[in-house]
Amino acid sequence: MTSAFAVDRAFAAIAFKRRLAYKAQWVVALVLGGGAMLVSMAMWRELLAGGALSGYDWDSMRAYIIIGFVTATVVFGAADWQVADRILDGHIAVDLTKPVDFQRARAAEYIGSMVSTVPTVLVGVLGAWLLFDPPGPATPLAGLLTAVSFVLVFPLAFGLTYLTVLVCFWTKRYLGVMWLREALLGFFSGMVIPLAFMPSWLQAVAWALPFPHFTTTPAAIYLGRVDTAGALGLLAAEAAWTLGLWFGARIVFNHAVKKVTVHGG
Amino acid sequence: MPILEARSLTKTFRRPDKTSGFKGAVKHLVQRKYKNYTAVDGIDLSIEPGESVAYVGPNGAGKSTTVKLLTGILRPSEGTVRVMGRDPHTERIANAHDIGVLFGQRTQLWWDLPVEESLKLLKHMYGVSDADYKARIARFDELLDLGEFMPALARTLSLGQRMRADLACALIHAPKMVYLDEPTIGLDISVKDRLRAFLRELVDGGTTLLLTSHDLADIEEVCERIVVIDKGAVAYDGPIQQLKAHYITTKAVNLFLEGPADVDELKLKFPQYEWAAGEAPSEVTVTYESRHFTAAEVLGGLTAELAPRDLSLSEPSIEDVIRRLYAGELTK
Amino acid sequence: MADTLTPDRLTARHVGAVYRRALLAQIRAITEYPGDFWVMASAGVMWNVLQFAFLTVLFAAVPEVAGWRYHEMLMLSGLLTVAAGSTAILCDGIWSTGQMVLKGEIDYRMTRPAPVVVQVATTHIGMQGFGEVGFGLVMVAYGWIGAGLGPASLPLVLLGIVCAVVIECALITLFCAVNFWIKGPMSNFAFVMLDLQHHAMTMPLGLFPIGVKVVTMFVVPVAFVNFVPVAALSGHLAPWWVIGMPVAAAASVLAALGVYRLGLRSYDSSGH
Repeated sequence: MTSAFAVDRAFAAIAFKRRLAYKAQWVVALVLGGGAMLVSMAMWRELLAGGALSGYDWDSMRAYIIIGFVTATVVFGAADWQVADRILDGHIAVDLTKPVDFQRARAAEYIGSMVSTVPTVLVGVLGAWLLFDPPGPATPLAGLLTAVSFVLVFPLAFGLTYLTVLVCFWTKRYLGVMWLREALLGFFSGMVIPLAFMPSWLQAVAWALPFPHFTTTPAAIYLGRVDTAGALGLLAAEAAWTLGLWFGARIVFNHAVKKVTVHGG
Repeated sequence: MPILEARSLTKTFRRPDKTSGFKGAVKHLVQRKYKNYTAVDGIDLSIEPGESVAYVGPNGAGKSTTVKLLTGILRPSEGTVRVMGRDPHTERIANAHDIGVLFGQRTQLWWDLPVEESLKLLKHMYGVSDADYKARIARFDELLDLGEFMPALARTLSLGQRMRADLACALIHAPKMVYLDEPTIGLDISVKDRLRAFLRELVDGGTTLLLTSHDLADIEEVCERIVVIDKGAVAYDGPIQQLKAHYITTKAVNLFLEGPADVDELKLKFPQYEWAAGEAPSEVTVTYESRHFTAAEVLGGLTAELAPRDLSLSEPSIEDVIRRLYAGELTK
Repeated sequence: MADTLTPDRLTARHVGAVYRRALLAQIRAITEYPGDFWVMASAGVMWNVLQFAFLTVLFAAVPEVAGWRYHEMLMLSGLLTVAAGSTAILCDGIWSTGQMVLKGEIDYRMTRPAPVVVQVATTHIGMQGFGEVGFGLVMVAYGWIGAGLGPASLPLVLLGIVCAVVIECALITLFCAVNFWIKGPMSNFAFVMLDLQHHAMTMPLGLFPIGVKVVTMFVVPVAFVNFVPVAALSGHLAPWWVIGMPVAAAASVLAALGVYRLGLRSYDSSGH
């Protein structure tokens, strides 16, 4: 066990430490995530003052917004640039000569960088808890399953990010790709507005994508909007997306790498 | 009247004594601790129009900082700079028309644009007329072969091409005073030769030049005057020839003997000279004071005694002199 | 060998010409990477399509937010998008200030006869700006028509757009100039401002505590980018508030240029 994951752990640890060096980013992430959270709270308090909308009352919305903050901070704070830069600056040619699996190494690094956002998350959640006193999970089991869905967000976020980063084999810059992904993620995950508010056809579109698992899935489990069977179903779907994106990325990568070997990086 | 005059020019950097990053910055706002570091310490320098001056010194001696002070990029902590009678920092815009600057380590080309676009932007920035622009580009093309990479994006250029393009950028407005900081760094021999020939022409055409370089061949081929600085202060200022005449008082001859050379024996036999073993066993180097001996005396005596198969003269090297200057062995 | 034009002082015409040419050169360079242009421009559009979708979904469930109706909120979002997108086209290079200070890349720019701030601002174009401005204008127009504001308000809308663009460019310049003192490659202050604007300023200010209103109007006048003009147009604020827009624009520009100038004075280059 130890030897099988030693390399991955090393990559994760390096990425984690590298992120820790940018202490300013913690403060920035906290201000940005906290600011967005406060704006959402202000808006929904006003809107839900007269009663529940689409099944959300002010109590459940407070928990919902905090859950959105957690995933947003972890996912938007990760070091996706590092993977993109390796491709854009041609460093990948060197990586391919190393006896480590490129995708697995990047996954370890990426997840390491996601872990480095945890202090920001903790401070943000603690602050939100004190300010807004959200309700606890519907049941202890729901709380546990919510935690599982948060854990699954790590590899899922990597799969999604990595797959989109591979677009850099065909573009010169990464910024636009990143923005596209973040815009779609913010909207279709339910971070911006719960999916329940959307017309059914838009909900269908969202559920056909991996995005809802970044906010809607953990929130639905936490708030008890699904029963245990439903929660397990959602987790299964989340896991399936994780695997699907992982292997899908392999196929795209093998295709893209031919470009590098043919054109010499 | 000198084109450039610096009086007791001093630059002290106040470095915040803090840990890096945001937290360090915030902490620094509260505590305010600084360390002082004097990069340039009371330099006096006066350059007449048309002079070509080499500005040399070991790493960290304050060369680049001086150039940045003279070009108005930095404000002096103490002392004054006047370029054509103007303060280059406070009268930045007026000064800019008269000076050309090249930092060999950096490019001023627009990274994502073709070289030609960069030159055109500079043309407009300096208000160069169409006719002058055409004539200058043609001349640069002739001397530096700009044409081959004018349409190329700056980021695709080789180092040698980039440096030639940067030189064109620095000179497109025909500045009267030109500062070149390490213009041949990292270039291969053939490109270096070309640049030196170009700079020689520039100087012959009346442009005033201040050049820093680690490559002393640049200095010997392009400049007439040399200013050596060390630890932020001037260690020598005068004509290169004088520096040589003054300090290069020894000459060396390499002798290639028929059999292996015994240096100890030679030292006993000719104690008036310095002896050192050469690269091959049969090779030996003899060094003598040119003030005391003529070449004929030395070679006459030695060839008669040793009958060398071959011999060669070592050129006196300014590099040695400067190395000794840095080491503090020589004083003005 | 005297050149025809060697002014000792900069003229507005010269600076304008330098700015225009540098920007046009950047626009021409876009054709080097058409793929990137389309990715960036569609990213710019996508953000706003989704903002549009958010408001549409929200207002299907509620009639108003703090007294603001659907079309007014569209204008609020649209105007901010136009302003932010314009900065990407007009002065995107200013985001590199921190990077340039750190690497000593301001050096050359200080030896040229043009304002450094203009030279830095024109080193890059954010191609997402084209998508943002395009779709932002659509949102403004759609909201304007939908809110039933007549053609009489057109001059006010145009004034609002011009002032919004000027204020946004100036404030981003000002916050990027912070990196002259707090050294770092990232323009965190400008980034935080822009991101908070996108979250908070797309909402009616009435949602927030009074402190937010004071800060956004009188300290960092982001409210004059989109909130004040739309509120004045739709009657949420008294009409005389529009006078504040050009005042805020002028104040922001003066502050930005002043701070940038101070930054250049304390510029230490790098690698002495």
